[in-house]
Amino acid sequence: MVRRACAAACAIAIVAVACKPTLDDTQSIVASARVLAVRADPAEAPPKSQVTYTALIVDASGTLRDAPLDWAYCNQRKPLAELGPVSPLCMTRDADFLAELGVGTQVTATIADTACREFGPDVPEAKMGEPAGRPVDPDLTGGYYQPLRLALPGSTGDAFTLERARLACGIVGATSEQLVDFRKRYRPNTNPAVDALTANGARVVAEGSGAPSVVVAGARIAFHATWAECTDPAKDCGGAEPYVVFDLASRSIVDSREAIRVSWFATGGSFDHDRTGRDAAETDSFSDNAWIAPSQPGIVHLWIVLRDERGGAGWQSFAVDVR
Amino acid sequence: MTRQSRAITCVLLVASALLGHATRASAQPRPPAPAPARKIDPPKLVKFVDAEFPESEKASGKGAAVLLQIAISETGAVSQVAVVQSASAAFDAAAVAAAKQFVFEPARADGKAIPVRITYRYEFVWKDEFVQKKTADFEGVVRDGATKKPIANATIVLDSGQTTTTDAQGKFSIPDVAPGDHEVTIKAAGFPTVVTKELFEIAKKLDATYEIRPDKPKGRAKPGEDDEEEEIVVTAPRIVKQTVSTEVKTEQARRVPGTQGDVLKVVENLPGVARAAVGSGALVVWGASPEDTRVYLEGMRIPRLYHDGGYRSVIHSDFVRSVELVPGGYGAAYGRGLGGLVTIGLRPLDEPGVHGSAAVDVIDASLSARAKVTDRLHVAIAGRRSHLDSVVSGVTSTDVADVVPIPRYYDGQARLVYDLGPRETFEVGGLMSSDSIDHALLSSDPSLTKRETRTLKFWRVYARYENKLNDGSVITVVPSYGADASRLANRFGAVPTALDVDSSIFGLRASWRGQRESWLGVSVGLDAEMNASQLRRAGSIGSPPREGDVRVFGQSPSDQINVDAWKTSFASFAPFAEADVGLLEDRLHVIPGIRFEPFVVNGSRLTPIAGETPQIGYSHEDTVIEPRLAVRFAVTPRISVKAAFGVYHQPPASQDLSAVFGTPTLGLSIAKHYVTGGAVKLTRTLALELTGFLSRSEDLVTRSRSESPELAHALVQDGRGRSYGTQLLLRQEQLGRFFGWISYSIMKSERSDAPGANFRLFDYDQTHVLTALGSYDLGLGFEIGTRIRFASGFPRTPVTGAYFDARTDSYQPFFGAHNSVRIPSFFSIDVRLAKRFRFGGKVEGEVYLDVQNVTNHKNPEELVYNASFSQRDTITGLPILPVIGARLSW
Repeated sequence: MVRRACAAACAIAIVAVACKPTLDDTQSIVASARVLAVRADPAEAPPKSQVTYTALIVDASGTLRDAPLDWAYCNQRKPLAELGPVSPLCMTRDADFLAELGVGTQVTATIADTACREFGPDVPEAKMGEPAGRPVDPDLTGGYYQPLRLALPGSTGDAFTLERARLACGIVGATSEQLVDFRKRYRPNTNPAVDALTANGARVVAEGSGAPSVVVAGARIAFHATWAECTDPAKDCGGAEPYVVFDLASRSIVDSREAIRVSWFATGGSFDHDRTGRDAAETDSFSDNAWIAPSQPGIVHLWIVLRDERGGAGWQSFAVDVR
Repeated sequence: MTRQSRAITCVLLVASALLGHATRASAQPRPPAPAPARKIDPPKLVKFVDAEFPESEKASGKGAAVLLQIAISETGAVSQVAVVQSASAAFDAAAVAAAKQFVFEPARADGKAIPVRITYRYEFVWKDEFVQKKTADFEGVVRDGATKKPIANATIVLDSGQTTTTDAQGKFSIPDVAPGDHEVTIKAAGFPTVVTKELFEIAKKLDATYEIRPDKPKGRAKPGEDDEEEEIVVTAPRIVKQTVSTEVKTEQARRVPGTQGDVLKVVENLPGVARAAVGSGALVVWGASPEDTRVYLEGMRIPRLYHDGGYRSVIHSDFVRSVELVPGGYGAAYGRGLGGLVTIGLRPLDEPGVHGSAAVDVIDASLSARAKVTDRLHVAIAGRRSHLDSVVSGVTSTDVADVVPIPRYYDGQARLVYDLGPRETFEVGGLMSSDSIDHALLSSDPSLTKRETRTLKFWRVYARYENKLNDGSVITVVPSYGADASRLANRFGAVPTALDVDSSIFGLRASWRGQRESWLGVSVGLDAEMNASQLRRAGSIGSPPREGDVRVFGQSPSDQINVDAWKTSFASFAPFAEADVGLLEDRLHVIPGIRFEPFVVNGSRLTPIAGETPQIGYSHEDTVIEPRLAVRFAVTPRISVKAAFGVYHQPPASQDLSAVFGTPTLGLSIAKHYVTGGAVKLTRTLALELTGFLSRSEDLVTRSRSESPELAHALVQDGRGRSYGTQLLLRQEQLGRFFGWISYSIMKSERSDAPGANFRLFDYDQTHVLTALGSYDLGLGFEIGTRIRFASGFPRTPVTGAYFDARTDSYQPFFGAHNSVRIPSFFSIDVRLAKRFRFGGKVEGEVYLDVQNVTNHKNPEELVYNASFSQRDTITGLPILPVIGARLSW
């Protein structure tokens, strides 16, 4: 799209903009070992809770059940001048502020008691001779997050991944009545889950649940991924959940709904879009994408990762037999 | 005056008055006398005298013909001239005056000289040269300051070498003076020699009155009287010039390639100005932030010089007399800015009749008109509207407009000038400007969809009173009022960035400027500004980005957001004084100045909103004294050196005073400018100017580096800056058909963001900026110009790697050393070809083709990375860009 627009702009030669180069932005094709997603169970937890973290690590051969993935909580606050999501210092192997959690594709750890002070709305502890610092700003959903650092050794060094575990810290700047109302109505997040995937209308068999679905080499496949419809705010739901948030602009508790992003991955072929999804205003609980199967026959692994707006993640693995 | 180049068609209609009828008056051809036939030889013109095209008729733009009857004696001399058919009093007089100087070979009858009368048709042919005069005229009178009597035989010498002497009435006249500043020396017996400086403008006449008091006989003066007795009074006081400034007149500026006829866009080509990124329109002067450079229109501050994209300035060119850029070291009359100064002078409204212009090109269309309503009242109005967005949508069905920011803008100005007296004017006027940009980059992934809406509107109304007093001093008062409204609403995925600022601005600039002594010019005044703003901001603390942020182009903002709404008000009343002390026979000028400026800042909120916590406001005051000093020394009439020093303070921007996103207690930032240099006049019209500069700034506002900053202290004043370099200007004023200049700047601008932190390159640092341009009049109304530009690329922070953010399914960059790489250099050749036409006498048309980047050089404008930051490339700027336009003026 950008290239087409650029060509038009250059052709008329009157637009003060520039022409963007063609860069390889494809992220959906898996060629080497990489982390595609990380899931926390439960998806939102208060300090001192035990949380299980699971990473989806894949390579060209499929999902890796075992990998030397090194986990650590990063307890370094982000400097205000840092525009990224966390302090870049977190992305290291050894540091005082890293709390090692273990190695593997899954670890279980307890959230620190001070997490809402360090990464949440509570005023951080004052350092010697200094006034108390500024609390962390929430994200759009009112969320606060404990950073985790994942390090995957590779031939060229560690590949780092950042995970952020959603903290149940409450809200800041609200009146006492609003706090009570919020606690009463807010339901912690639940990880989304893929309900089903169909290819040209036929259900695709999840990996490990039967023989791989068969597709024709080079064929264009219309994928249709679905997730749960969340209509009852009082129940856990693996889809786009409704939730309440303290709106900083109006200083009131308002109803909201999660957006859902769908990330598509495969070990071969090509997708029309690497990412699709529904924003908060779209109530549909599905997303479509098209995939052109590779021209060479063989087993192709597919992964669909759902992410909700409150930091929850869920995925499903598939294998298709290209003939 | 104009050269005697007009071709006068002299048509001898009939030789008449034959055979003793020489004294018979008749305007008609006469039949030959009856027989006996005589051989008649008509008179023959042997000396033709070219008549002056009357000055008063030039405005009409029309030629004329005067029918004359000329009586020629038997000697061939013209004995009498009478007007048979008049064109106008002025034409008649000019024709008669010329015809009286004709010399003929007498008419002969049978070989004998006889007196005759003939009828001449004297044609005045209009030529474009009359309005394309490239020089100025200098006229005036020299009087005894004590007795007010004219001084005869006084010698007037210009530094160009032109000289004349006064007549019995003390009057003098020097035609064809090259435009620009000239030193004028007046010598008269019994009077002291006076040296002063005058500004000559193209195609204008400078009328000056010099009053000189006679030398006091030695020994007669009482102590303390000498200076007074030698007082020199000139009609205009010495103009206090900035030490380093480049001023370009409108007629030249309009012809500079790449400006598409926009006078104010010439500023981009002046020394010390960095090349702005394409589409930004930012003005980076001597390594200062764009927001640190102030723009003043006749003493009234306006928020911007250019519309979005930098395509056009916000003031119509027909309103502009001149534009002056002072990159630093300016005098005490201006302040509140750490960077440079751009001052725009409005065109005097003193022409008779109705004039105006209409212009259109692919970018916008404009219209202006000015008229003399009564002998004392003049009005002018102008407007402009862009249509680039319509052109783009008309020529392509693609989504260009959605992807790229295409600005939409309009502006308008109006003036009403009333002459209260011969040297006293009152003016009211107003201007407004509006810019808006909407664009969206859509994606199948809602989190990657980007939308941007940006508007900036402002308006001003002002009154201006100017009185040139009899003693030569000038009083100017300019009160103004207006409003600025800016809106920024971005959305990156679901993450918003919003910043709304509504400001009301009151300004007052009043000054008195006079020549108290022959060696002392003085300027005092008051520069006041009050600004009340209401602001609202939402989004990440890092968006919009600030100078010094370590980021990459297109990087998504953090999804940690906040909201704030606050009010601020700012007031400053700065009295200032400046003197121009002329020493060593006026070769040395020492210009000390001082500015006393109290700043008062009020705000509505000292801490963020939290629950039921009451709102606490604040007020703080800072008073500063800013010394300024400039020195100029004329080593020889052609060589001069200069130096300047100044202290400048700048109040914090109102958007930085948020309790959430900034710090309400921010104080003033300070800069010190040091300037030195020299100028050599290589020829009468060719000058070389070399300037070195150093600017040091402290207490600059930067982001807090702390991991846990104090509440309401997101910004701190730990920043320091330094910019230093040299600029060169080789300027050829209009010489025959050519003018042009070469400007080159080599500079380095650095910032330090925290105490003890090393200096890093400033985001807008450009080591080399070279501009060479020239314009040549090909004749027959054709003109060609070219501009060559080279500029270093802006510094950027390289990406050395990336990590995967599992929550957002995106990569985040690891950065290398801050601003340690540069965007590749910029090079462009632009060409302008114009053709002027004249329709009838008054209407002139111009069509032009302004082609930017004729070599289609791929100019990198920004570094970009792919999604995983594993590949880097550059966004390239404009390809070859032909802009065709037309302008009609009358």
